[in-house]
Amino acid sequence: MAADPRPPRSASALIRLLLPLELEQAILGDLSEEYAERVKESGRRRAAAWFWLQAITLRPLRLRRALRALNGAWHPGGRSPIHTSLRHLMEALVQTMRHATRRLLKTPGFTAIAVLSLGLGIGANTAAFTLVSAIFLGDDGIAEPERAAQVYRAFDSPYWSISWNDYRAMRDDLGGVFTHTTAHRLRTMRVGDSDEVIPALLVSGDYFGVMGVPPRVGRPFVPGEDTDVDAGPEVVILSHGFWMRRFAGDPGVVGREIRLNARPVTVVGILPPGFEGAAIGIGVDVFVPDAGAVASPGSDNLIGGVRLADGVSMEQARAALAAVAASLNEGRPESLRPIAFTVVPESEVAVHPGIDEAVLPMAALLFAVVVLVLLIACTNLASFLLTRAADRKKEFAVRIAMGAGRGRIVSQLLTESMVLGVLGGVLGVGLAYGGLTLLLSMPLPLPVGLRLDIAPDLRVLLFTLGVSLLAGVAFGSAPALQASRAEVAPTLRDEAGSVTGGRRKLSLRGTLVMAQVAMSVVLLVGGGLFLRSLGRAANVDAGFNPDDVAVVTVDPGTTAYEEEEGRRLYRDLLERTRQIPGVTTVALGTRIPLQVGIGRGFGLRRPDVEPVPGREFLFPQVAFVSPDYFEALDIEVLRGRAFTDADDGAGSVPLILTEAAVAALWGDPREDVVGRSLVVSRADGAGRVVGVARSTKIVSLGEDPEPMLYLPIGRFHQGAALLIAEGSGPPSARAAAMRAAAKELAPDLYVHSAMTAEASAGAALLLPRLGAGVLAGFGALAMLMAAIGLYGVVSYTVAQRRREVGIRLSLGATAEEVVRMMMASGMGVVGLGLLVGLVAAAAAGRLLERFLFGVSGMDPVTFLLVPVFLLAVAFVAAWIPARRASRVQPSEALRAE
Amino acid sequence: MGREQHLGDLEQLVLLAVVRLGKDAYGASVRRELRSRAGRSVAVSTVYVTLMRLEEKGLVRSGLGAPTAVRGGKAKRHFRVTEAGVERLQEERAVLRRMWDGLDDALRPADAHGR
Repeated sequence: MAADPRPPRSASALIRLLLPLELEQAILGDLSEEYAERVKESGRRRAAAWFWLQAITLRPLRLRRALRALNGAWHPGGRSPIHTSLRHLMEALVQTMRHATRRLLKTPGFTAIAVLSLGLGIGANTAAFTLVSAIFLGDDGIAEPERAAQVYRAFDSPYWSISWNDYRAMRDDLGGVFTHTTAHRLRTMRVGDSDEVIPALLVSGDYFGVMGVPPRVGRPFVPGEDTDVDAGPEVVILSHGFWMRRFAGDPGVVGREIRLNARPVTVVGILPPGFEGAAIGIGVDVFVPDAGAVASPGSDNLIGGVRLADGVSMEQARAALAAVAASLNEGRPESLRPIAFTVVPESEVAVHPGIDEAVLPMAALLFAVVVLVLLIACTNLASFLLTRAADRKKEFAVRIAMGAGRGRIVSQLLTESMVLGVLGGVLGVGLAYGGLTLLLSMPLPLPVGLRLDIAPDLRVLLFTLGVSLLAGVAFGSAPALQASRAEVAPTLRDEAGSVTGGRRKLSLRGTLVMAQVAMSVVLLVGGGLFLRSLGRAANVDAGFNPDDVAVVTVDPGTTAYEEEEGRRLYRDLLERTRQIPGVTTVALGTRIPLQVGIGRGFGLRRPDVEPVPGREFLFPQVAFVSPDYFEALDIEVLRGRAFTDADDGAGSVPLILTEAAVAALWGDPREDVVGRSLVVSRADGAGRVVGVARSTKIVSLGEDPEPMLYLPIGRFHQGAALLIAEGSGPPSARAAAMRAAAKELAPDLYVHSAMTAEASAGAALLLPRLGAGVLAGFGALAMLMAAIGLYGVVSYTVAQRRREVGIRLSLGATAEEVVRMMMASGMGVVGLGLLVGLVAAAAAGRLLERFLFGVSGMDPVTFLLVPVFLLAVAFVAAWIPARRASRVQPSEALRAE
Repeated sequence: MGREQHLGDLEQLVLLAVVRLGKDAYGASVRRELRSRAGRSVAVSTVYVTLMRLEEKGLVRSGLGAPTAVRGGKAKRHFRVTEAGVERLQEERAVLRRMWDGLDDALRPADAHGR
């Protein structure tokens, strides 16, 4: 007979450890037998999973109980390889755990609060750690990232985009420094005929060479595919994830045609798993050669990439690129700012260097908050365990007197805290993933959703488990040691009854409450500052009125509409939308205020002033709009006029400037500039101001008014635009009607993100909302915990000083005096905590200032209201138990001994 | 009949399986029998706890067999029904018979609506 397959060794060992010796042969034999059967039926892997399940679901305690009832009738046959003392240890452990669990279940309220507070602390930490590790420690799949670098142009910021000309110079002027060079830009593309858009990377040059990630199946792009527009069929390389999602991993897709932006493209390769572009969180699905970049070689919209040759250091690379910049600057007009490159190693970039710099302080803030929350949870647990230890002092004294070992009592208390710690840890991991999923599903002001890997990762799991066990052991051991040190005799004599007893313990518990109060002050002040900031931000005059406005994005460019068709479509769309009931004004525009988006392609210059070297043109933000745009969004045209249909014709370009743009060009926002000429960096150079509009907030509420230029969309046709409709009735219903109407007009038109302008503008409030929500939420929680702790301290004092109260009452003290006396001890602690907390909050406020809007970090309102509020809560928490003291019957209290 | 003497549902099924399996009754075969005949999938621990309880009540007796190569060299614990066990099963069946007596008509499926 062939040897039977052996079940997994470690699972067998676990079963052996759990089983009493008497049952080992029978049960392990039975399970091995069934395992062999299952291997034959459904394969080794499923059989092993089943075997593990059996090991985990074994009920050793029930088996032992039944075995004991047999009074030794079952003899173990044979000898076990597991040593008896090990088995006893295991049995003792199981026993202690069971005992601990049973004890904890006897006080379900205590256990629930302890587990909940630990779970919240651990959950918040896990969430923060997972998020930050997903962004900053995540692996973007680039081979040897320290040998690759991103190249930007230093302009207004060090991370300005480069142009195709810059890229070409990088590629051609350098022999031997770089092995591969590339440039790329991120776009969204519509896939198939659905309304789904996916992140697409348009690449020039040898992108996959720079990343060190050759396609796993098929081929990379070949030279010429990125520059030769008429080179035949267009090609695409798919990310592994997209290939799995969309084509279920079918290898036959290579060589097949798919449709991107309504154009047929041929799949030539599939990337290995783990690489979805260099920016973590974006998750590029398709990579296509960027034939459009060479067509406008001067526009700055690319990110450069290089891979260093062997032996070339990052410093040498920087020097080489500085030389490239110098050669580019030769023959460049002196009035333009000289070109300089910024080189950032891929290993130092998570998302984008500029975004990383903005996100890091937020990550630090998040960590500070969650660490504070965990500290509060731990102090909370500690004060609970202290209370319990005090309550059970007598029980322990009795057990010690009856001969129980101190080690056993300490180990029992430790196991209880460990059980709490593990339960809290499990709850925390669950809360963390729930919270993160919720966070990632929140609408972000981004064109594509965030794609972050927040699956349970071993590091996060170990981190949380470590934190929870540490918390359990650390806070379990202090009261445990204290309890076991209890002197037997005085405790049995009921020390609690004496007049002076219990002061030292109170001060330890008082310190914990004080720390809790202080920490809740810090969190509440932080939350309050964000709330105030939110209030300010919501009241900011953004320069437009999003009420009653519905917006849908129409994208004829992705359906391969030619320009003429596109224009006609826009006209029809405006006409059709006007017929929707309730609609009063309809307009088109490439953006609405408070939207992320960049468009600075048009430079403006006064013909009558000598250009300043390096600042020849002013590059304002640009929006292409139809005549009714200003009316639809209630953007006031201060001087001159809005666009008319006549502006679509030839001749000098009609310009509408914002006041900020007027100020930037002429120095005074009130200058009457209507009718004046300006030199435009494109479109034959001639422009004429026809109107001046009020400045609006462009990207964020906190910004200072930035120059903005409006151009007629009828003259400069745009491949995608927002269809904007003002009217009566709910805007969301109107947005849906607009979407339906557009689809009816052109069934293959790509229509997406129907929403209200209010919702779109609301995204600008995301940070203050998030900050206020997180900090105020945790602050309230901390305050609740501090209140519970305070309640505990005062009730403990009341219980401890019962006898004293009895004496005082019998000597003629009034009930109010007694209550006041009891409360004084608690409120003193609170006052101290408030003081410490306010000092810490003042320091924290300074650090928070960069996140706040319109509020100082020392905002007096917040700093006044938080302590008042906290005092009120603390007062109630102390008053409830203190009231009990006044009901003490003197005769009973004195008789208690 | 005393309360603690009453046989539980699972106890009864396990006991019947032991009788049916005769010489070949041990943990794994009893479990198989419960699965194939009664459609009940019972955990290993539960089967053994039940068997031990039956032995405590004196309804089965058990003994360790010789180690066999098939099950990783582990011996089987064989179970046999005792006289008391047989008697108890007969009593249980008699009780069930009495309870069922005359109920065949009332429990015919379609009748309830016909009346």
